[in-house]
Formats: sequence, C-alpha cells, structure tokens
Amino acid sequence: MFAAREYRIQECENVRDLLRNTLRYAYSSDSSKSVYIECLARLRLIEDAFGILEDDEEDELQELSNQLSELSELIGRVERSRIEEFSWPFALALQNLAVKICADHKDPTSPPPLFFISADDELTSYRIITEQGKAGLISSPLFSIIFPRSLKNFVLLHPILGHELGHAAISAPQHTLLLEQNVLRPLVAKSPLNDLIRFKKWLDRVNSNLDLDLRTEASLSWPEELYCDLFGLLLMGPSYVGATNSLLRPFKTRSISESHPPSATRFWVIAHAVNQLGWREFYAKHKKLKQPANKYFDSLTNFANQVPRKFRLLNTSQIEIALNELQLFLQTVPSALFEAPDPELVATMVSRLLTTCPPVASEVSSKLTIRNRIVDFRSILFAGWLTWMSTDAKNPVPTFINLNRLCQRGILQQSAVDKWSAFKEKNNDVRP
Amino acid sequence: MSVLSSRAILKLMRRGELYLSPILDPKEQIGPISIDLRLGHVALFVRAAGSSHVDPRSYIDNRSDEREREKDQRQKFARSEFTFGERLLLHPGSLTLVPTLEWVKLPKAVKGVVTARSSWAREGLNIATASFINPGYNGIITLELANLGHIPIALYPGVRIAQIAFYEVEDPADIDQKSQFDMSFEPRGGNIGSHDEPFLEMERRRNRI
Repeated sequence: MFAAREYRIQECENVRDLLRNTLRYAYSSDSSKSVYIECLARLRLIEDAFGILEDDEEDELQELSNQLSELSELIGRVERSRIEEFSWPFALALQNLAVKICADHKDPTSPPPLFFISADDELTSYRIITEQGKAGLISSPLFSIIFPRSLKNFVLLHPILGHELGHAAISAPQHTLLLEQNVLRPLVAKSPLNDLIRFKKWLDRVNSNLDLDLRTEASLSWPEELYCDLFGLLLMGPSYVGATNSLLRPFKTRSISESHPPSATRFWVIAHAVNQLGWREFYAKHKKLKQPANKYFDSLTNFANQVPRKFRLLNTSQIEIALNELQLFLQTVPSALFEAPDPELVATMVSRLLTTCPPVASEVSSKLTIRNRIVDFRSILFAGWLTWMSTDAKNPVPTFINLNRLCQRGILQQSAVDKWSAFKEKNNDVRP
Repeated sequence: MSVLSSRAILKLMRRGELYLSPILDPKEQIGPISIDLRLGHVALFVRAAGSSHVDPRSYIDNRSDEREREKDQRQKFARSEFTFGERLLLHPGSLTLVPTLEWVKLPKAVKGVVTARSSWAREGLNIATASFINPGYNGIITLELANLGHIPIALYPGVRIAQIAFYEVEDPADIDQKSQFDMSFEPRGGNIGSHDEPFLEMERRRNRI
C-alpha cells in the first residue's frame, strides 16, 4: 500500500518514463526538443511541490494530481505525434503561422509558444488544444494541433484549422483583451447574443430544447465560435469556405448545441464576410476562372440565402466592423493575413492540377532560364478547390484524393523552394 | 532514338509538354544531357523479417484474398517519412525504396533513363535496377537504393543522388499503356506475378504430382 503523497511521487516517476519514451520516435518539427524540455520542467515543478506536502493536505494533493494528469495526457499526445500520421508539409506551414500569431511581439523576452502536432482517431477531430489558467506552471505556452488520422492526405479540408487558431489567438493573454474589445464585442453588438434575455427568447423562437444552464453557456461560447469563423476565413483565405462547407454541411445545419451556433448561422455569417471581401468578383473576372469561381462561391451563397431569417443572428454592419478590425489585427502579424494571389497564378495552378501535375512548378522563360516562384500554401489550396469545381472539356478533374495529394505535393515542393531560397539569401548566393 | 540535350529538355518544359519540378539549382542540377534528381521524403525499408523469401507465386495465390494481398504488401516494408534535415541511414546490403523530390510527367514521345550520380556510386550507393521511365509516365520516380559498400551511408531529403536523361521515342502513336506505377505519390511494391500466370500455375501442378 502507498500513502497518498508517496503514491503521487510514484506517479511522477511513471510520467517521467512516459516522457523518456517519447525519445524513441522522430517527430514533426525542430520544436520537439523544446517540447521535451518544457514537459520535463513542468514535471519537476510538480514533483517538487509534492515533496513539500503532507499526506493530510488532500486538496493540494488533488490539485497537483490534476496537473500531473493533464501533463501525462499532453505527453501521451507528444508520444503519438509521428510525422507519418498527418500531412507534415501542411502542418509545418500552419505551425509557422501559428507561432507568429500566438507569440508576444511586445515582450521579446517572453518564450515563444510551442505548437505540437499529432493525429487522433476520430473522423473529423480537427482541434487545437490551448492551455489556460496555469500561469504559475508554464514557462512556454504549449498548444497541440490535432489532425484526424483518417484525413491525413486531405489537405483541402485542413483549412478548418484556421477556426481553431482563432481560439488559440484569443486565449493568448497578450491578445485576449484586444480581440474581445475590437472584434468579439462589435461582432455581437445589436444581436440577441449581446443580451441574455433576448438570447433566451431567440432560443424559444427557434424551438431549442437547451436547458437553462446550457442556454447561458451557449450565450458565452457562440460569439467566440462566430469570431473564429471570421478568423479562419481571413487567415486561410477562400479555401476555408470549401473546408467548412465539406465538413459541416453533411450534418444538421439547424441543430442547436451549447458549444456551437447552428451551422446555418455560421454559413450565413461566412457568406456575408466572403461577399464583403470581394473574392468572387476578383477571380470570376478571369476568363479561365469564371466558371469554377462562380460555382465555388455559389455553393456557399445559395445555401446562405436560404437560411431562415430567424437564424441570421448577427447584424450585418457589425459583421463588417468586426471583419475590418480582425484584418487590422492580422496585419500586425507578418504573413498572417491571407493575401489574394494574382488570378493568373491561380489559373496556372488550376491548369496544372487538371493535367494531374502538382500546382507549383519550376517555370522556364523564353530565354530558357528557370524561375521558382514563392507561392503561399493557402493559394495552393484555393487553386485545389477551384480545380475541384472545374468542368474542363479536355481534362477530367482528378479524383478528390488525388487532387488533395497533388496539392500536398505542391506544398512539399514549395517548402523545398523556400528552403533553397532562404539558404541562398542567407549566404548571399556564395557557394563553396 | 536520340538523347535530348538540356536545351531540348527546357524547350519541352517551356511548352508544358514535360513537367519536372522542382529544379532548385539550375546551374548545378542541369547537365548537358541530364537533370539531377534529389532524394524525396519517404523510405520503404525492406523488412528482413517480413517474409522468408520472394516468390512471384504468392502474388497469384493471394489475388482473390484482399487481406492477404494487403498484408503481404504492407508487411514487406517498414515505412518512414523524413522532413528536411533528418537522416536516412542505408546499411550495407540493405534495399530501400525512396521517391525523388521531383515530380515528373513525360510526353508520349519521350522516355526517361535514370542512373546514379557517379560521385555517389563511388561511395557504394547503387540506385537503379529499373531505370527506364516509360513514355507518358506521371508521378514521382522510385529509386531502389542499395548500399554495395561495407559501411552505412547517411542520406538526407533534398540531396542530389540520381540523374535522368531523356530519349526521343520513334513512332509513339500507339503508346497509351499506363504503367502499374503511374500516378505514384510514393514508392510501393510491384506485382511480380501478374501476366506470368501460365508459368507459375504450371509449376504448382507439377509440385502437386
């Protein structure tokens, strides 16, 4: 038999073993060493805290046990993080963005946030697990980006993680107040979500059977979910539309839960924002993109137009204010805001995909010199979705899985180009 | 059948008839009649414990049993992925299938021939047993790496280990047959039993007698 404190110390040793076991595998990124050091530091803090407690200090022992359990869960995710289980070219591109967004730019001494990537077994379990409320224990905030294992190669669906990055951004202490004041509050102003009594009446109007406690919970969680959709859209660009359409539309679009607003409401908000951003007009004026761009954005707007008035929860001018503020916020983070690529480049990428080649390529000039363009991974994904919407008489559209893999290949090739260009720039193109 | 010069290769690429990408370092990567190929990010290591021997007849026996067929294919190789900067160790006497970093799409009138870069060959690295790339092929190129030396060889994704030369094919009008490896995103095992059934079946009957 163990005494209470002694047992916990044994548990710490077991967790240490689990942590050591993570060293058996190759992981997704250069940050794996930092993650190991961070986890070890946390474990030592917990062990030291157990060391000074007595067996009868039950509340404190329990609190520390909970922290140890969370750490064990985190290390378990680290252990399962193998690059074979998710699309690492996409994951690393996303990780680069995520670190920039969640870093504290005002305090250069603060440690950079650590993002860890792993895969989970649920079919659509896209998540970013953020840490909150453990300030005393954390030296580097640690986020886990979780991909569904079964969707490993489906990079066209991965932009939905832009929504999850919205949660991560607002949970970062340096951004919380700013995003709440400038984006979240304006977004729900003049809407039932701004007033609990009005919101409860609204729930009655839509025949929701949420019980009383959950209604209050919904009034708190829904605004953040709607803000996250705008965040995902501005971060990932038009490919966010295809991803959310594909992942959310197959489910009941008017069902109400305490955690998320009905998808009908979300699509209506996204459609309004897309309209505001003017992407359809920008791409549909290109001869080769007119048909796929119209079809792509129509699939969203046609659905949004059919959303019953009572599900249109937000005031449209407030959506525009929030969208503008969010754009200003993302502009402060290098490369975070999606920049619409030149339609000619998108058309070229679509043409390549229709001939079952990766969308990016080394291009040969009339003087037979070679040029490698810098293409953002989000533009590659948008080209992938437009290809899926294409009806090309000459070339049949590739199967969805092949299209995804070609886009993934494009992101991989681009990462090689970027690595090469960065090396050349750093060394001023002087080779031995 | 004539070999294409680098100028002819680049002209085909410019016209969109040949896709070969990425070419990161044209000065070094393009030779007078060839283009260097880089190591990709996946490796299929042949598992010594996966099977006792290679037997084309097992492909025939398993053709109606999906589970056995898949099991044989998947247990034959251990699969790993490598990001840039990670090391792949090739041990003496081992066989490993790897993709090129480059994606290649050939026109119907051009075939490719892949060979080792001589500097790597001098270190004991053998890369090609099946070096012909059929006209019209589209996908990564699978390299069959073998270490013929006595000490392990470390390789890294992105290093130039092979080269491809292109040859014109005469009278290509009838070439339309897709290879079993067309649209490969990564290496995979082949089927060494297919279309040789008469010989493999006959031997089985004789064994039974």
